[in-house]
Amino acid sequence: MSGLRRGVWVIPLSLAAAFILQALPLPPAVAVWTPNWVTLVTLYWCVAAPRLAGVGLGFFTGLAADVLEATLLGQQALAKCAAAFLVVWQRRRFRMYHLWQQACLVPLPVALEQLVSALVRAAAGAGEPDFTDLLPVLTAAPAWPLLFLMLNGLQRLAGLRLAGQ
Amino acid sequence: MEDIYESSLRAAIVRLLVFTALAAALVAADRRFGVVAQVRGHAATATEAVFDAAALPAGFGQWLYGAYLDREELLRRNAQLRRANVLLRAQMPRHEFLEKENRRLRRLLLDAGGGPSITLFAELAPVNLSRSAEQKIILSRGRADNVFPGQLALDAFGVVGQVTAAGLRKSTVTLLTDSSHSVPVQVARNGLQAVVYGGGVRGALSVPHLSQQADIKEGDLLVTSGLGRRFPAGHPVARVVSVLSDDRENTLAVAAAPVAQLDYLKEVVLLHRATVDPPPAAGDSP
Repeated sequence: MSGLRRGVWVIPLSLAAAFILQALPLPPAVAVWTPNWVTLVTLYWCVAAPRLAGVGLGFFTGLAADVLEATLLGQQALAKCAAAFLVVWQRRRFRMYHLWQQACLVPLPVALEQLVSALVRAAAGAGEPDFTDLLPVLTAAPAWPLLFLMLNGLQRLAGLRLAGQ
Repeated sequence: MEDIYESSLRAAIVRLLVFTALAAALVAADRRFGVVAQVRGHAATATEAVFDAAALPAGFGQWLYGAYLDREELLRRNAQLRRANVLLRAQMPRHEFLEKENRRLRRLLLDAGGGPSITLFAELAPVNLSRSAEQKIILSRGRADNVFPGQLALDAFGVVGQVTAAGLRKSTVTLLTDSSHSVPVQVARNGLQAVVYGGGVRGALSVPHLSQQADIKEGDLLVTSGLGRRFPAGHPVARVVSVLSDDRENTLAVAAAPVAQLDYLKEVVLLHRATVDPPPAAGDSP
């Protein structure tokens, strides 16, 4: 661990882009299908740069999402924390898989996030879960390879070294 | 290698526990409205740039649309708006007269809080909120435009909700259908007092705690009662959809639907009573 790594800036940059992408105004029929970009980008960094990103990153992106989207403060923080932990925990196995296999698995942490989110809301009496909560879980799978290739390219471009290399 | 992995996993577990506790504390604090609203407003200021960036493509699209819109179409719309304006202007003096009369009558009824409402026009920020925040909307006005928590938001038909957090240039309105929202109302027909609660689903409201003898029926209009001095009185809130009697509890299960068109909101009017001073944070923030 030597000081600040080269190319660390791609992490906040990609997260900022994810937040903007998530806030993009879309027709409601399309909006319910949008994958949770912020979560997916967070998970990518948990896999690719475990020394820089982990449960803590999940917490803080979640907190930012709570402020931005006017959800209960702490709701998405907790949810993204849990999703990040799942990925950090199984990171080594996850990294071994092919991209399409990863795409099949990535709905799991997203589902955990939605579940925790729904539980927190229910516990706080802030609304019932909805079947539309499940749609981002489904769209996480096709979104992952796209995101992976883009972020991987960006990471190489910035010279941020992959974990374990 | 295995050791490093094990220790980093252990560290991750510790962090998970710490952050979970922190998040739980935040959720608990947030439910106590007001404690966090101020903080949230300031934090929201920091994230406003995200909304501005997200609104850019839509703004560009609108600009294109405007640039290529038919001249004829523009002229037609202009004429239409001018007609509407004349009509509204013609009705204004009558409204002023009615408001004066209303205020006089209110004074007779010893309601001191009947002062004129201060209004402010605010557009919705063109942003997409996550599904879990469906019962909230973001306005592209904030403390800089004198928006502060507690203001009532209306559309052309009735009450939309109230401002719950105000950033510098953006603010959040909690819709009246949010499960944390309640508003004191009266039945317009007979003045029966009640409270309307949000159902947590868009379009659903409930009016609990009414005895079976209460005079309320399907189609009744519910208007703000001004009770509690939080909202100005007389603004339409909801229409009663169904009244079922619950014999066990000896109460009525009253379902209502908002009169405001919550699915088609483009802009809202914010009001607060002149008699209620804005909190100091709203007026003289640095």
